[in-house]
Amino acid sequence: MNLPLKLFLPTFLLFISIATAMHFYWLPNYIAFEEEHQIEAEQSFIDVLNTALLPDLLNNDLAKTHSTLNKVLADRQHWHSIKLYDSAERLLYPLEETQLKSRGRLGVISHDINFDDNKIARFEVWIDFEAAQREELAHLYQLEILLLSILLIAAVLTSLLHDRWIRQPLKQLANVASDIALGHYDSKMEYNSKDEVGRLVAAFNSMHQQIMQREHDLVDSMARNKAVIDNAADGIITIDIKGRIEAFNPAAEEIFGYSSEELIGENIKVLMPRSYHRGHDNYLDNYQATGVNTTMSSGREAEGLRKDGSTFPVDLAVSEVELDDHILLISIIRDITERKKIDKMKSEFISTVSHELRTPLTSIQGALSLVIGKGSKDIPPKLLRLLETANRNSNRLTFMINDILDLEKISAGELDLQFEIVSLSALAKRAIEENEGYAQSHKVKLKLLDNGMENTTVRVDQYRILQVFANLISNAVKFSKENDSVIIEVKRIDNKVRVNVKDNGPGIAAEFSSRIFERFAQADSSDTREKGGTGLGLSISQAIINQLGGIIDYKSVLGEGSEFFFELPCCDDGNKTATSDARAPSILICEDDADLAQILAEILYQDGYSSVIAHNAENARLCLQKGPYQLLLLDLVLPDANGLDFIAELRESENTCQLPIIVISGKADEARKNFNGNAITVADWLQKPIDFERLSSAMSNLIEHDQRSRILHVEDNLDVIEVSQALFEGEVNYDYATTLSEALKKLAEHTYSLVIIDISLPDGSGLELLAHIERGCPIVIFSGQESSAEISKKVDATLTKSISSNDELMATVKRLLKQPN
Amino acid sequence: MKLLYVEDEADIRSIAEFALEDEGFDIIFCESGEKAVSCAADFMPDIILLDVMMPGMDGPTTLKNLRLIPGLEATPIIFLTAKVQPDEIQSFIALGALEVIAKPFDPMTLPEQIRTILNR
Repeated sequence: MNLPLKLFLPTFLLFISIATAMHFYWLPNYIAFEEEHQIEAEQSFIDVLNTALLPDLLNNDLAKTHSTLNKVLADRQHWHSIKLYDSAERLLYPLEETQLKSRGRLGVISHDINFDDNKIARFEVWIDFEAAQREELAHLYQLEILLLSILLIAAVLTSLLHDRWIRQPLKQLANVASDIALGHYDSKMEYNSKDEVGRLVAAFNSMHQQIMQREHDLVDSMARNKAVIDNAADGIITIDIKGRIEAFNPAAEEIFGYSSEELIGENIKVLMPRSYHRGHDNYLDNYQATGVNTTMSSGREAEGLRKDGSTFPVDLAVSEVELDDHILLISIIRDITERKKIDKMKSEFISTVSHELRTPLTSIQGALSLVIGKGSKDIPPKLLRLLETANRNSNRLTFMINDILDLEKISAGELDLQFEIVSLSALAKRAIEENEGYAQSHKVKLKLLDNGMENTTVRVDQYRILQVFANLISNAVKFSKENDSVIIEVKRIDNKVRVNVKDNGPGIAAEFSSRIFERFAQADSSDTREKGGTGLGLSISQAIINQLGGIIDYKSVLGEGSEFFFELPCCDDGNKTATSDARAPSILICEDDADLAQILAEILYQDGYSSVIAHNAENARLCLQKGPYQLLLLDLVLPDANGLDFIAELRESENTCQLPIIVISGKADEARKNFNGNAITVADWLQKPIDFERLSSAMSNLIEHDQRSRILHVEDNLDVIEVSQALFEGEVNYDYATTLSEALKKLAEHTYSLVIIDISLPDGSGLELLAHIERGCPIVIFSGQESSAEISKKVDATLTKSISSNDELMATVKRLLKQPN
Repeated sequence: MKLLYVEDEADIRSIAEFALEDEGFDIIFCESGEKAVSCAADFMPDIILLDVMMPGMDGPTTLKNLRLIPGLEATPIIFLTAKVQPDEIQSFIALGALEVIAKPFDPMTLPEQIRTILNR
């Protein structure tokens, strides 16, 4: 129903109701009331008639009676008839009984004529009400029509006003609103009134203003952002969670050589060398599944692939934007080819310079050392002192060159850190052993306070941490008095490990504190001569510790000594080991020997599993609570629990009752005998020292699903495919392509562990695929033609269809899949 | 014990000569990789000390060429080099060197150092 009808309908219904009420209720009521009134009026006339007729009736003068009645009838036109009966109900007037003709509404009034309380006659008067009221009724009907007409006009007028006051402004507003909805923001409505519609329009206009303002701001800010993005020197690429490119800025176009139209909607993988595809897939899968972002970082180096197929180094920073309904990943990419070149030149220069410096230095130092060592007896003491000075300083120059080289590498971020999970307290012990000689030469003792921290591990580069230790210990020794001690303390502060190196030397003046970690900083130039050192040690230490994610600082009281300390995050609370990529499935290693745990983690990593290390039962419990694991490798001897009790405990819990467990222990065989368990309780028992091959096979038996290799078979004969599919079922994930183009597409989309190729394909030669297959992925030629020696050299195996059996194909595939790439 | 010392820098050669004389070594000094390869076949050293950075044939190439000489496939080779970053040392060991001695070396302890390495 449209609005005019809606507005008109109530008025119309009101009109109908009033008309109905008037016509069918009020009017009949009024007529009935009038009738009663009439009857009363007639009654008084009848009384007069009674008086007039009485003498004649008493005289029995019937003629006179008749003439009176006739006169009355003639006179009163609305009296239809009069009937006169004597006391014996005989009709006296009219002379004959006449049939009453129905002429409308007739009413009868019966009246007895009495004399001295005796009824002498009775007459009936038949009154035609309609005739009596004719004129009046005509007026009445006219009045009714007039009222209804007025009412009708009022109704129509109301409707018209409704239309003008309500419908038209609303219609106009609706038009403007739909214009705005379509984006025509210049559409506007003028309506000046203070009524509700006016307020509505005013509110609407103000909303419109705000939308326009926001639209304007938005366009403005978009233009600004676009200008920033378009003019950014770095490539900015927006992708969705599936890796599809949503936006690609001009700098990215320049860097990669594609236009943005070519790439919008494509997978970001087209911009990466193939070796990055697997990692990228894993990352996105992992991210989608867990929401844990393993790539997001402020910056890391990777490789990009240009349209022309060339690769180049990039700095990559990925950040995430969470929109209402989906998540976008924004990658900022910088082509660092130039920087790499310059860096390389710089490091080559430094390396060359330092080599060039060292060559003469080797001669100088060697010569001095030989003279002092071999000829000291023949040299006068004065000369010997000079030679010793020269020797000491040439040594210092050597240290300085080493330190400069180190510092350059570290500050260029080129330090090739070999991360390992190690016990910091064990490293401290080693550092003390290594620096013991130096301390002894200064008659200073080194003491270790490790607070029972043997099992607290950190993920660091051992060599570099030892370098830091050496710097801090040698500094402390240098500034200690004879027979003093330097205390090296390892302690835990929350989830960090702190190492303090404390001496009772002269302390460090406050004014030097701001420069202490600067290059070539030494508190006092006179100290330099006395104490030696290059002034680079603390600077290098700081650079190393910062790169390892820790902090380094010191406290000192002048005259009482100084305490240098560094803190590193410890990793025994279930941090992921060496691998940060999304390998699956995940395995928990519960082993208190940090070195062995690390070796196990490495081996698992090589086998394609990611692992998490827990050094005691408590940590293992925490890890198991946090996430599901596919397998637990458990040492029976744990610092805080008996392994067998721990297994029993895990079996009680709903989460871990099905978790496969492999026990590794020095007493595995013994424990196995004593343990009344079945295969479900413990999957395997491995005796220490561990047979790693047995471990690998035990693992692959336990974890096989989804770990199966995925192979691609490129073959145009569907029968061969059907046979192969049946052959490989259950062994590998089998995928096939029947044309060259399909194969190329699949190779670009997926990563395969092995590819089987038929050479003759409907749209080309299968050999064309060789260039597109990832390096390290084994290739088997399985073709009708015998392969030439040249082809055989390029692939891992060649089989000829009619000659080689299915079993041979299977065996070849299995062999190649087992080989490490 | 026959020792082949390969070093392009004459001064360093003479320092080494001083350092290693009277220590029971029978030494031949070569100033280039090419020379070392040509005289190693006749000399058949028991141990080879090799500089890394040399004009013409560098240390690693010399090592590879020496290994091709029958009888020298497993002769201990020690690099003497200023390139002593951990990764550099790793790469020399991976080439088949027994050990890497850092330059500048201490000539007074060099003979002892060599003996220690050989006795390991």
